[in-house]
Amino acid sequence: MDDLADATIRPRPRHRLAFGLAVLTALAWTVGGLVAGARTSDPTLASQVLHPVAGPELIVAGALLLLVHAWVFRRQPDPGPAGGIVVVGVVCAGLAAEHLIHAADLFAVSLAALGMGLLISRPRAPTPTGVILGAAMALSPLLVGAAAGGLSAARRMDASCPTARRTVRLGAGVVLGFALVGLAGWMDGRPVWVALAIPEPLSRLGPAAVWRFGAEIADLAAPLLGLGLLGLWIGGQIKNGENVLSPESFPLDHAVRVWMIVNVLALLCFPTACAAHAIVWFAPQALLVPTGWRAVRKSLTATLPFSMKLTLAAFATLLALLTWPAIRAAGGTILVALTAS
Amino acid sequence: MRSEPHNPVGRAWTWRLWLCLAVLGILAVHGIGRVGAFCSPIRADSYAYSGFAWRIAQGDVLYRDLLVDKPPGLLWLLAPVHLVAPAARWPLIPWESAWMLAGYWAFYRAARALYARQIALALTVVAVLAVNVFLLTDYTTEGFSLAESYLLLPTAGAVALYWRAARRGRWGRFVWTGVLLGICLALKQTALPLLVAVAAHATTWDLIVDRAPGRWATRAAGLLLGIGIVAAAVAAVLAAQGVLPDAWHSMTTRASGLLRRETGWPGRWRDVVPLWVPLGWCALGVVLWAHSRPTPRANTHSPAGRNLTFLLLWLAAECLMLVLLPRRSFHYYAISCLPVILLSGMFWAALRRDRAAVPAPIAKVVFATAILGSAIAFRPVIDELVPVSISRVRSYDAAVDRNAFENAKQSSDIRVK
Repeated sequence: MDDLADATIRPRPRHRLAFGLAVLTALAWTVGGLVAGARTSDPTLASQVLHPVAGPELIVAGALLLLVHAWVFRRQPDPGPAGGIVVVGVVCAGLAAEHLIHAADLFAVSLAALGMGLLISRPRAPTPTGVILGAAMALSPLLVGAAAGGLSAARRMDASCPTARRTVRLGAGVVLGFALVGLAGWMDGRPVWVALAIPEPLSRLGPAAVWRFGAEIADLAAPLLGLGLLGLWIGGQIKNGENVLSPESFPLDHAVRVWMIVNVLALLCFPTACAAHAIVWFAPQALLVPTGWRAVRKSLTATLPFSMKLTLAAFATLLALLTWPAIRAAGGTILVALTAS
Repeated sequence: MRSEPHNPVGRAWTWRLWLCLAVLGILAVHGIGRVGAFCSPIRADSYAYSGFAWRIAQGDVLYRDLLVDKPPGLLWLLAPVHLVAPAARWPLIPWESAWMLAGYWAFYRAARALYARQIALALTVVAVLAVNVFLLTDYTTEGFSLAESYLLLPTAGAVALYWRAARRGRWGRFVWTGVLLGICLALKQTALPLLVAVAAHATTWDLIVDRAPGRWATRAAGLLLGIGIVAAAVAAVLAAQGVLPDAWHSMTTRASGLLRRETGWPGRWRDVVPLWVPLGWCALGVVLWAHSRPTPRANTHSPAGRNLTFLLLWLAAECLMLVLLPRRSFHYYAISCLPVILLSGMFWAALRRDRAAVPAPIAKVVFATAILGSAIAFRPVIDELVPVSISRVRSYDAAVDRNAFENAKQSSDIRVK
């Protein structure tokens, strides 16, 4: 493990430049996609009928939230949440540009990502974190996994106050945030249980819907999901490394694992097979993408055997080729929407 | 190329986990593939074979009452099922599955002779996927209970046994290899490329490279004895039934008339979707092999080099056969793809060999990238396997199945597929 932190395999300037360009491209893509999705928003879309609070302004707000969050948390000991939400934003941009995402889902995921970031960077203030996670859960019931992950991680965190007390405060925050958003929805004319219950008939649940859902969204999400899983794996492998990740990364790792497990259960109960839910399922993996990216970047700068260099190059090319059709389609939509008068 | 784990305690659990996952995956793919093939709306070979096998079980004589242009092995293999099971096609399901599952095990043993157990297990999963997809998506026939399903076991078994025999040099194993080759030929003529590969490999190595004519003669005698035992048994039964000349005419003259009618060569990349990933691994493996070999002679003279030479000979023979076969039917590829999949392990073996040169996390990054990239590239295969199988199950009509079986029982001629 110490070899990873060795000075001889530090990233060279050209790798830093490539990394910076990649991040800038991702940010530009995110802004373009989300703005294009907002500008061409259609209020008659089924997604916005299901979620009356959704609208272009919410998409833009979600995008801003993602970007601000990424900026604020970029220098944390573990940049997982910051980089991860950039990845979330990239996927959201592709989906939003194609009108495949619920604005409420996007906003909810943004809140969940913010909650995870706060959970790591502000361990002494669990109540506001809980409020944010509860609000996210109220906006999209599928984000119950984020709240569960947060509670589970809070129970394990080692900070000033007792862990039981921290968990209670975080849980109270979750309930409060959930209630506030539910109340707002009720005042807006929606039944409270719309925020927490599944509005579709139970007959629509089942493996067939899950399979259709997977087939519909996989073209866009599969390669990125692969990278996310890579990040998860690497995060799990090197979480104990003193020179690679800070000890604070452990709660994030644990929270994301719990979030993923709950999401698998939630996936089986998805009421509708739609691409918007992909982002909810994808979000926890995305939070660990930067961890995987750091390891990949170090491996690229290390002295690797030819076989490993060839493998990385070949499969990076493959992933790029697989992702390209979806990028091209969404990019065309973005350009048309941004250039239209 | 083959190496053992360094930390048995730590790796035992990992190995058991991977083994459980692989077995579950193999059973799932096999189940989906077999159910989809059984429920196929195409009603051709499996109905004819099961109908003929039922008639043989009732006392009819092959090549006299029933005309086929294949060796008798397949129908003789299916006939005993109808001695104990009712006259229908479904009793062949467990019989075929038992042979195929044993064939998967034999393939694992063959791969194990070349590679570490993790690589052999991964190649077995890929082989199961490829075999089932090729059989399921063959739109010229239904892919259920074909000769290829039963060929998998003796083919992979013969390869594994031949490698062990060549390494240890025991004469008895060459006899058993010959017996398995004889069983392959008794099932279908398309097993000929494997026989050609074994003969060419043994001759090349013993006579030309090692210049040991005595050893070559001993081994060739063992192989020929094994093949001869099976051939003599088949010929004796046919002669006792008085149909030996007719059987020989059907298996050779009549069957060869179908060759060169069209071609079985896959004309499009789309035809070999299950082989995209293994072919990619092969390409990477060849590059790594060319890059890393210290000297050509030292590399090709190693046991692994000899086995790889055999695989190349087998692949060349299979390709030649595909060119000559009468039609582009995907079920031909179910056996022809095996040398490609075995060769593709070169890539993983090279990667595994170099993993000690870098820190463990970095090696894990590389392996994770390769595994996930390969898994994503396999998605078109899964996308084809599962929906096709589900749609066939939904459209399956048992009454139509029974009628087709009854009609097949009345027929008296099967053309080669």
